[in-house]
Amino acid sequence: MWGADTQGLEVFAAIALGFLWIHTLLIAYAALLDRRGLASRLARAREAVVGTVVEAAGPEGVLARAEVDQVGRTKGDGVVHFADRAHRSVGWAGVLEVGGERHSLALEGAEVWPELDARERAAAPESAAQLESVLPQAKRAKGWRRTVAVDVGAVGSTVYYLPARGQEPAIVSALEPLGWLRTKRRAALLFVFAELAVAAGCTALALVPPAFGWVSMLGGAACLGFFLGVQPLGVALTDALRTPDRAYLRGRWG
Amino acid sequence: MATATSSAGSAAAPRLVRRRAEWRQIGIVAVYWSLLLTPVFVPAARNLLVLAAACYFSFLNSVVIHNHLHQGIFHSKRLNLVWRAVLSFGALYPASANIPSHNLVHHHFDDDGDLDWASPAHVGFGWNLLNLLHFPNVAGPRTFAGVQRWAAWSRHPTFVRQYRLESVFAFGLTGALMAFDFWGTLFFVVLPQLYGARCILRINLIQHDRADTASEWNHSRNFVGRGFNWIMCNNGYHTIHHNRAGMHWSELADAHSREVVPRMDPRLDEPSMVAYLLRTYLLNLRRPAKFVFGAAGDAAAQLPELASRAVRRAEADAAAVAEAS
Repeated sequence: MWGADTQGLEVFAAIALGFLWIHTLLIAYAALLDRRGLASRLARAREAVVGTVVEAAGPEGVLARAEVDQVGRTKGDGVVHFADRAHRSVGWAGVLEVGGERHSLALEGAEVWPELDARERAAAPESAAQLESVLPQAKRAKGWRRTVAVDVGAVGSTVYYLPARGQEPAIVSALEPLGWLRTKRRAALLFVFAELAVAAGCTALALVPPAFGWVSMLGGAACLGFFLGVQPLGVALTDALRTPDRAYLRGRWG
Repeated sequence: MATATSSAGSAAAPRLVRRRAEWRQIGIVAVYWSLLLTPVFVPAARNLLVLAAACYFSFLNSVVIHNHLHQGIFHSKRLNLVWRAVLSFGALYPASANIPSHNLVHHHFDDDGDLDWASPAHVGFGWNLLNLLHFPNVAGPRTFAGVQRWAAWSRHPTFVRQYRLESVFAFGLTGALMAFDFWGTLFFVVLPQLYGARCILRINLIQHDRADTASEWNHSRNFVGRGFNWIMCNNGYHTIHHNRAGMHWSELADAHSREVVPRMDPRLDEPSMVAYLLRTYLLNLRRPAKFVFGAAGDAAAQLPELASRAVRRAEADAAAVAEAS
């Protein structure tokens, strides 16, 4: 039992470890590509203009708006679960005052980065009565559809502006973009190092002599657990690296 | 709806199964279980050939999951639920996950706004072979996270219970085998289980990458080899499967010739999956460009008796939920 007959299993162990490492490296490579996807924004964020909005042509005097279309559904237990259907940036013209100088902005087509906390607040129910009122629609197959909108750049507020460069659109942000990008890129790098270290640790444990002994078996189980666990972590990292204009909101009421 | 033209599927209904053709699927699963269990209990059977065969049949087991979750194999609802547990062990995931992930989400493509959990857009390596290898690492977690979210609000009365039962059976039996013989089970049961589950995810990439999921007829790639489709239970005919999700798999070949071939861009009919894989992922390093289809397109190719995409979606949703009960 347990170790039973292990004669001639080395080749199968090599195949299993080969699969493990191919996919470990693929997940690491994908994380590095996600990280690289933020590189050009990081370069632009170093030259970001920080200023005060003095004029804004958007409705209610705002420069830009980040919107998330959502559908909320419930099974009738009083809880509404939201899924994101689309993320949208809407920008208007305006004037930014930077160190006493005024700069005209045209934000059509720009990426709009809201404060994510502000978006969470905008997505929360206003009252228990509002939750009650949407339950009947949320119970239907189509669900209850809504758009969560967060304004960025109300007159008098501070925003960060990254001008368009080549094919890349301008970015107007309510949060400090350089710090955000650095944190995310650091997290990606940390993930890659941690992933490789854990994979190496599990592999080393599996290779502890005697081959297929108790310690080796623990290593084999750790390799399997790692393989199953690292994939959702890789996807979670990809999602965490989505820029604030596309970050998932989801959430629930109740 | 098309008439049943397959001799296997059209004769008088047999006693246990809904159609005679289902015995092919039962046979596939029986062979697969033999390939999984023999090496655990008979060490002399531990060789590369058995492992390779188990991996291949694991993929076929996932094909059977797909078909069974569209239309249950047996007359008896209870037997269909038990069969789902049997299939779940073969794939090391609860077969009922297919209801939300495949029947309700994948069949909608991206029509609902957010990406299909198994959309080809989830991978973006320059070297195309890496996309094929990596795809399950992304589509798998997105699928299971999506299933959890769906289960949180779904009003389906038995889904969560059945999903848990299948999980307990699949992981419980695998765990028991590991307790009996850890290494034999890891190499000859778990490896094939994972291989098949991951390959069925890869099929999403193979069948839809570079096609146009917004199109009525050009959304899928078809693999039309006869031998391939015999063992794959007609899963090579993917366009017609999307357009008529309720059609039994045994009828897909004829419907493909009748409805799809005259309307679809012929580049989406591939005679051989092996040749396609070699050409696309080994001989060609880069991901091919997205197909550009002719302007005549969908409008000219409308099939009068085919309901609109939205109506078909709603019908397929209702059928999927009913089948799951």
